[in-house]
Amino acid sequence: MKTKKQTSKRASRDTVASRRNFMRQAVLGGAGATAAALGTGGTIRAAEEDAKPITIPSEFESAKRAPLPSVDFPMSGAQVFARACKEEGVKGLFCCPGNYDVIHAIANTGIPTYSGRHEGSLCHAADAFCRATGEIAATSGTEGPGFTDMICAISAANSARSPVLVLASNKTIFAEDTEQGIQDQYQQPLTEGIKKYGKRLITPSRTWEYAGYAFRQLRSGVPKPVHIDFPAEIARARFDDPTELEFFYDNTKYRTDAKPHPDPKAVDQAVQMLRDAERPIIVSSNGVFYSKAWDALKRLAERAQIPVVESGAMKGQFPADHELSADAAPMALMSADVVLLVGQYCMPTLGEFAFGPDARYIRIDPDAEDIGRNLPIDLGIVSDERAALEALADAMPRQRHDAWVREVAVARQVFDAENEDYYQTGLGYTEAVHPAVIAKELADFLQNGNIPQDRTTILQGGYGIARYTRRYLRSFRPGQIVNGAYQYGAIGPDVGYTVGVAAAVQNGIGAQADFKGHPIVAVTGDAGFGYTAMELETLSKYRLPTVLIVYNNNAWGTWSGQVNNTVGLPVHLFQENLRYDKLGEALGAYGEYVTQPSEMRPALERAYQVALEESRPSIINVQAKKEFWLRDQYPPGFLGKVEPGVMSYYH
Amino acid sequence: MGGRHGGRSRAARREDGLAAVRERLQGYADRGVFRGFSEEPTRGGRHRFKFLWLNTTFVLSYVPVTGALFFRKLLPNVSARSSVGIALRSFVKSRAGLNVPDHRRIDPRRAAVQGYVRSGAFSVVITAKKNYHGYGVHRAVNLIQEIFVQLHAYFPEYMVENFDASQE
Repeated sequence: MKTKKQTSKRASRDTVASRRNFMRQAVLGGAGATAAALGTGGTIRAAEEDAKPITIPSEFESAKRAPLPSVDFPMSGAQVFARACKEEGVKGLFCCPGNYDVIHAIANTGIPTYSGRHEGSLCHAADAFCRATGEIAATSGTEGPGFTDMICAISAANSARSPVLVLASNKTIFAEDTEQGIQDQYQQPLTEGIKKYGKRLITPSRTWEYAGYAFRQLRSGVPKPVHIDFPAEIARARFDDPTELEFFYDNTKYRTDAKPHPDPKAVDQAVQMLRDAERPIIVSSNGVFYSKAWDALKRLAERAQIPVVESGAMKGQFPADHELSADAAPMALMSADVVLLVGQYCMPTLGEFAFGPDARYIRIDPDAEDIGRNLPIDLGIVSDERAALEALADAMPRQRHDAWVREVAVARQVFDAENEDYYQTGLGYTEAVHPAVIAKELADFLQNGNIPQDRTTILQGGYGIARYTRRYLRSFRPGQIVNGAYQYGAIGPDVGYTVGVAAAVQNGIGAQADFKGHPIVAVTGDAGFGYTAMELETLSKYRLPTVLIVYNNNAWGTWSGQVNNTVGLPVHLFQENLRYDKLGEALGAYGEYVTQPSEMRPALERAYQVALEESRPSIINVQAKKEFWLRDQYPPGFLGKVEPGVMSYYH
Repeated sequence: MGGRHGGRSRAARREDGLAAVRERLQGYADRGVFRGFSEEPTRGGRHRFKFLWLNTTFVLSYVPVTGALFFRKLLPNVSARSSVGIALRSFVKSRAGLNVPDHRRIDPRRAAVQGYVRSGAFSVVITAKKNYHGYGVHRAVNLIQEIFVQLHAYFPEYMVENFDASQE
């Protein structure tokens, strides 16, 4: 940290003696000054001279201190379902007002509950929470508009294979089809194709039973969203004792934690293929994360000296600084002759992964139905990922692939050198901040400086900017990087995702247990920011320490493809030099506006310090220019990608 | 004639070359690498193989007399002086370099490789030497995939415009 140095630097720049400048300096002056700036009761002084301070209502603190009500008979239908959520280990609820009986009942069980500004954003938050923790999160919205606001997020969660429990109220069964009142709608048909299971509850006495249906799906096989909608007759039903509920017994009776184990013959075949290979490689994806198979993965890789490359909606099952990591060695992938795909739920077609046409494939997946889809296999193993990796690690003889490991190492060096070239080129563009500068400075600050490299959880979002940040940021432990736009490619969820990741770390849930309370960092672009920006208020309201970097190039990422389309081009453009930092300040965040490459690192340090000392979000609005995507004018221009590995996000 | 070719006639050697090419390509089809595969003879004893791979239909022309394997007009809309044209020629040429790992290198003793731009399109020809026809096919198919990986990595907009790659 260089707080004092940075403070004085900043102070000399802010020559106007305004209250705002005083406050900024006070914030930077250490914990004492920060406490003074904050005042009591979570007050953040507003940026403008005459504004009243932004305050967090005292009810938040009262809610934290209040004892939890008992959840026992007599219970409402909502309470019955909430009790199932608690007993099944749902770790977070992300919602907006609506579906009141259910969300209040869940919050009353003590499950951490976050409310925000848009149901879609909060559903994205639940998705990101799952991806960061490996645990189940619930999300909720009201019937009609609240529910339909979530559709994009449900679809994104489905593509990412996230175990999101989607809840929504519905009107009454009695008034079905009448359009009495407002917001009448059948929900389940709208989630066809984007869920693993869905049910509109219609029989009150089966509420607990259907909770069992939901959690059997969420806790087995390949995870995907489950959608339950609650007509009022269900949520408000009253049950005086257990005899009024069907199948009311604990979860050991209605589901099992047993996992499918691999066929020993298939393990033998896999061992033979791997033994015969000269250049084997393991692709570790979602399933390794959700089955917590990273220790078995490492044991297999080290025993047989097999490089590992990652793909998927989250990264870090295999540490990037391990000599066998091929995550940042894209040009070595073509050399692999046997590819072991583990937990690769979202399957690429041939050619989407950069393995050569002679590579042979072994695929481990819990769902037999999916094995062989898209990519022809030489061997399929139906199994839980951890069970299969443990069996392989036990059966595999020790092997050496020194020449292959050297080739991977050379490819890593080539990739690093290329990135360094991009950075040096980017430093030469001084009229704005080039994405290579942002990415390199961020990586150096978080992972190559004083902060332990595995500490900071990162939401890696954005579009064009992500083509750069993915090249520089690394993951060193499970759940360290959540891959924003993975597969579904929605460009706007990033601030919603940030809420979910920050909540996961704030509470130290699942894979984030050892990193509880540390600041997180999120990256997005100006186009994406526009969709979910109001969730900055959610981050601030819940005191979620976050540094959000907005790559502001005044345009949608699509603009460069239309550069010669004079009439249509404005479709892809925004006003220039927008002050997203001021928007953040207005919502309770700390703001920085970076316009020069040299300002990037100091701004990061100040924002991180605010996160540490005040436990609130910052927004760093980094001014770039859209022309950076034009290769002929500003090499290296818009970058492509090679998958799997650090750059991957399609699969 | 004869000698190192074991005394076989020129026609027989051409048949052997064709069989080796066919066998290699059929192998990729049998393994599911190619989703569809067909063959037809054309003029002058030449053969044309079509296959669906990498979400694209490829046409490989084999000239038994010379051992040449052509991917004509492999990449459309490439001009000789464009950055993508220059990069492609350079990349193809580099594949015979000693810094390329042996298992990916195109060994000049066994095959010659050339990339060229003609009529606004980029083409590749690999000419198998001696009786290395199977090797030539193997290296040619691998080279095509390497070219596509390079384009996805460094010229994504070209793939969007010409191969329906996603812009997102």
